[in-house]
Amino acid sequence: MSQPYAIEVIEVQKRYQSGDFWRPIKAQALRGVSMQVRPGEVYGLVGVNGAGKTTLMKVMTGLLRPDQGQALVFGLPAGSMAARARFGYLPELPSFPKYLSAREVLDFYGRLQGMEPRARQARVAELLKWVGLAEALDKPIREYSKGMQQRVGLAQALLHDPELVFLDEPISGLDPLGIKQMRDLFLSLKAQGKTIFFNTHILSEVERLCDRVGLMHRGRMLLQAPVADLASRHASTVTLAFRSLGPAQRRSLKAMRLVASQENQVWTVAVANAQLAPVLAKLKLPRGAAPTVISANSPLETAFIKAVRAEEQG
Amino acid sequence: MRQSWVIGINIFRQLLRNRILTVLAIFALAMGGLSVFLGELGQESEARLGRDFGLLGVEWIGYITVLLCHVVLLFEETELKTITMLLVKPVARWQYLLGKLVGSSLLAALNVAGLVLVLLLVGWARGYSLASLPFFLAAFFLLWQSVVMSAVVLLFSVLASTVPACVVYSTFTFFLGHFTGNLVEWMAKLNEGAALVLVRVLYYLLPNLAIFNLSDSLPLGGENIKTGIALSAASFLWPLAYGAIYALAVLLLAAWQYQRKEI
Amino acid sequence: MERLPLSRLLLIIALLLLVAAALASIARQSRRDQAELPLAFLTPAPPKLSAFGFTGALAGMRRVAADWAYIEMLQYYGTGRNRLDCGFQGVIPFAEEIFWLDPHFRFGILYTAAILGFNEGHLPEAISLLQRAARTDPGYPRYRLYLAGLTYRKAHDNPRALQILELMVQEPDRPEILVRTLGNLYIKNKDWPKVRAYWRRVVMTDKDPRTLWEARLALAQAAQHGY
Repeated sequence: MSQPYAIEVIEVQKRYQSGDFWRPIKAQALRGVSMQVRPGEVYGLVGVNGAGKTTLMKVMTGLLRPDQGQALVFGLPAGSMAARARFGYLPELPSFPKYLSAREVLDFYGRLQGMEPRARQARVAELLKWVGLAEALDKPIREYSKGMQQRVGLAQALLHDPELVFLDEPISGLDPLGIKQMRDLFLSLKAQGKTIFFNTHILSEVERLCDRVGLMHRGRMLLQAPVADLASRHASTVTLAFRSLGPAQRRSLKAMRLVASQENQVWTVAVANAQLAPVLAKLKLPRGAAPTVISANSPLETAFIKAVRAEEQG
Repeated sequence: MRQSWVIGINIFRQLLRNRILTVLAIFALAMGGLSVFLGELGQESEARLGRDFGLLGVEWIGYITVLLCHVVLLFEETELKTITMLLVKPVARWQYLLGKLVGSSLLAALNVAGLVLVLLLVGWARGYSLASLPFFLAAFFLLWQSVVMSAVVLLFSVLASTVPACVVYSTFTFFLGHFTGNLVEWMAKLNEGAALVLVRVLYYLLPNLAIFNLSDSLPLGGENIKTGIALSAASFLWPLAYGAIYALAVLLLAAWQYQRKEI
Repeated sequence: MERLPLSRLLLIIALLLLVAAALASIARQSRRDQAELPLAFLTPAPPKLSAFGFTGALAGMRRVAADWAYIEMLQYYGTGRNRLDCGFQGVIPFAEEIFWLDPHFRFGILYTAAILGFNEGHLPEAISLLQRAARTDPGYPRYRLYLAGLTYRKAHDNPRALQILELMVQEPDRPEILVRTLGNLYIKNKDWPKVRAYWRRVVMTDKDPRTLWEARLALAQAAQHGY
């Protein structure tokens, strides 16, 4: 491959130390994580809280130095000045100086990027219009809603028109309208051919936006694959709850290679969406004994649940 | 350096609009009121009292300004994490620290100028004049002291993990720094090894803030004050140079530690 | 910055601190050679040094500490209740403190010397203070003028002491207390024509409220004696 990866992480390890110096508490945040992101790709990194997603992103942006391993951005060491000039970063819940306006904040960041005054002013106006804040650009940021601040954050990340954008939990804490607005902005960035790397724990957004996805759990990368592959390999499933299952019905389920487990006198069975109707037909349930759907998992969820269970068991 | 200047101006602007710093405007007015009150108490020596306590106020407003600046910035960095978006820009961490120093020093200069103006107005209203070159020089060197203290507070804001710790260490150093000048005299009188070593270490590490207090040396003019003694130009250069080099040493240490700090 | 080893950084910082310390010493030396105030505790401190005075001397805030001692002295002297204290004996430690903290606080020294010598009869202490002040500040002629006045007073040469006082009150920026002291000496000497002439001039020219109040009282007394 002649063109370097947009992001390349090689066996990165990172440990945090907290507590008092005489009794330090150490936590291994990253345990030998490796991954690559190609230019133009939209990559979603998912995992539960505390999986290490933000730590990994901070290593990639140079905010943290790994204890071992290496992170590269377009072949350049993460955190180097040359690398920083080529990406934009939106942290989780971005915070700005409260008494400045969006225009002043972006103008400040534009100066730091070395932009010329005229180009900077035009770009600031253009970006604020693009993110839908043209009307509020001179108001102090302390009067902005969370969604508005998120959009200012996105604007500052794109100020210098970077090739790569890091987004840390970009839709966390937003209302449904805010989520839709951000999603439309991301789709627009994707259409522009930018490389996007974002952290989230909302799988539905990954399914909608991403080309590839990675799953992190307890500091390890458990799974990396194209979203389309995962969707084709894992069916979406539903979990059914039965108040009672007779021996005949349990034998039918076993014959269909479905496992029923009982807890607190309730039987639960996970069934592929596509198989739901045939299974219910074969069970020949009496009237009034229809099961309740207690959860529905997308293919991604199914894949991740399997991967996490496998990691925890073994 | 350009990056530091940009950051400094931005910090100056955001701190200027921060309401917590209006306490400094109240302080300046209170110092003006104190000048009037002390003038009433001091009767015929009103001008001297206004001058001396005014310069004391200048010293305090300079220090409190830089302390509050760094406290507010530290709070924003640790609690609001405003720093993350800045440090991924093509800005070195030492440039950011220098920018903080520039911003806090600019605000200190503004507040010192404001207080000097208040004192001049009070003097004018009360029938005496504080406007003289020695007075302005004395105020300038107290401002220079504030710049040095800003570097010290900056170092503690990097080393300390909490805002209260930063305030305590900085203020302790501010007070001790006033006594440093006399440590040399004490050293000559000490024979014991351990005490002498300790005093020497303190002398080199602590800032010598007495150097910047020219009010005890300058002929500040006015009634019954000796005039005609002029300190040589070199007497002004040494405190300037001392302040610059000490602040540089402190900044280097702060920058090195900040480079290793995990955000 | 990142690649600089800690040992080298500490070496650079140590060198900078050494240079800074050298510059501070030079600055201090040039100050000592030329400054008005000698450095603290090079001369023995007065026996009753206040906490504020001690701290001010240590912390390089000697002028402010001297000012504070002066204000405290005025407050002490301004309230009549301290009169029982052997004629404001408490002014003496204040005078010593003011002089030790700032031997160039001319007005403060003259004021306390005037109180001690002309008002309260503590002539030896007042003369001692002025003699030390004159030695420290030889270019200031008023110390010698006040010394002359107090010396005549000590020798009970009242006419000459009065002559000196008359010279002293004509000086610009003289302590206001001297105006009252001279006027009260005329009253004590029952020199009613001079009382009337002197206090009338004071009423026309002076602005100090207490002095004007005393002037009116004195003129009333002179009037009672037919002047």
